[in-house]
Amino acid sequence: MLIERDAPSLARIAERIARREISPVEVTAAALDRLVRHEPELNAFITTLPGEALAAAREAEAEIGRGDYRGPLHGVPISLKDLFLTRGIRTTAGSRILADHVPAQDATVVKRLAAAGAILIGKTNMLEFAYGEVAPDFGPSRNPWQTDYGTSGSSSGSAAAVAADLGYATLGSDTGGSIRLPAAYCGIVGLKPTYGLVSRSGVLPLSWSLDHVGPMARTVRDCALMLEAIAGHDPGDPTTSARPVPRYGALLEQPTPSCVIGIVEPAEDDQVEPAVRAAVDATAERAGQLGFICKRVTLPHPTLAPRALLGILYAEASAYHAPWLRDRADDYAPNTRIRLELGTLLPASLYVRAQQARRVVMQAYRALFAQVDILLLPVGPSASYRLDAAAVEPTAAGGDRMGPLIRFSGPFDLIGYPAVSVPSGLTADGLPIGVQLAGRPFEEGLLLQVAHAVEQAAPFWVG
Amino acid sequence: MSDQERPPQYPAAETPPDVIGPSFTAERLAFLRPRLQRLLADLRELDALVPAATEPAFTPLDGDEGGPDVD
Repeated sequence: MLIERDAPSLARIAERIARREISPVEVTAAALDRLVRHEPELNAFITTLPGEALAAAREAEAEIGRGDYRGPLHGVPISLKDLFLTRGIRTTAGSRILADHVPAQDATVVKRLAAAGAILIGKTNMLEFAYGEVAPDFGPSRNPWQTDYGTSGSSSGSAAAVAADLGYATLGSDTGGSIRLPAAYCGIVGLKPTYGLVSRSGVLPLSWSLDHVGPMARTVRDCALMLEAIAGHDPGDPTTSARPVPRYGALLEQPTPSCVIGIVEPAEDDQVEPAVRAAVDATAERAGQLGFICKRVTLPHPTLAPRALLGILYAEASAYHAPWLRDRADDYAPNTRIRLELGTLLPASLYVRAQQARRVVMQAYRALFAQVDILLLPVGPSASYRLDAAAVEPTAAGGDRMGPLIRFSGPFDLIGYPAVSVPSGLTADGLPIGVQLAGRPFEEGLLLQVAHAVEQAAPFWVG
Repeated sequence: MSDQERPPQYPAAETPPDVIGPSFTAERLAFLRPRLQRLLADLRELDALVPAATEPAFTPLDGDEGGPDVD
């Protein structure tokens, strides 16, 4: 096990940097040292940047020494999923297609993290183009809790890196659960914000109307600090909202408002393992003890929502990949290629049908959130899986095999509501289990306050 | 079963869509067809579950939920 549960959080290390008890160079050198020791087992990174990181850390140290402290990310080592464009640093999306791709500019969120003073130590491994398959050229990331187990995806290396203390936070992307599922499998916090809160300009797309960018870190507070740095309107992304960005970190210092939490009831066909169900029940009990009003609710359209998501995802992903699929089909991992080809063959009317289904799901969730302020439910049906399990084809008799996996995470990508995965215990085998909290659009403040309260009632990380 | 009685295959083997490109051979099509049929069979469930006149939602969030044009 490569886990140190008493490793300091981002917020804790930031306080020490601000007080000049420890320097960004020391912090970055320590993160790089752990990276060198653990990376051979984890395969969490595609590109590491030790020289660049130390140079940036020295610059941060000098700035802070002059009294130019920029805030809680200043001098803190972080990583990025390898689909965020980084100027002069290759960005592969975990695919042979882009193995030598060196962008000429940074994604907006990369610029914002740099402006906040964060130190980039590397670009993390991921499923190919975030589309559910490991590319053989890069191989799977391994779960730091037990390295013969997987991390889920698609932000695989990001979750493994943060859980193993290789950097204090990271950015992922989430189209059906790709931040929250690996966060849950690796025992960290992963936030998928509201659609339109965080810019996707300069982020390689999987599916334009489903993609979200969000932070992953060991605590809710750390995610709040990251979100504060990256959120807000961007002229480069026409889907971003112009509303002002709250100070999410400061909100966590305030009392959590009383609110109603809807606990999603089990269903006969949900395939949720008993340990995951027990984690949801234990979290619900803690929420009740904290004074939240808990009521049992049912998940709206549990099979319609994943189908709608997949109908949209297949079409939009294939539209983006059409030029490469035409000229370089053999360079995709076999299952990625199958999905892209199938998406090209789906009738356009089915894509529209899926968008109609999205409307039905949106209406149902809006009605549900008129009764509750927050939802509590599983992230996925199970904890991690053995990496030596046989590879499975994308489609089976019941449709795409992603369907059951994204039953609980996918709806919030489909409708754009914010959702966060919070670690909530271990299986009997010692693997992490996450639970999911979801809220209304642009109510990340309340969502993070509730998640923080639940987390603090039974802290998973003690640093 | 005669050719006239046989249900039409989608996509037809002799008309590979040019959009995919030269890798999309008849052999590749034969490989994909059962996979496509499995996927279509599942996604066609949307027809039964969604009223035909429903207004599509091409992006998440309605305007009054704080979409991009609302500040």
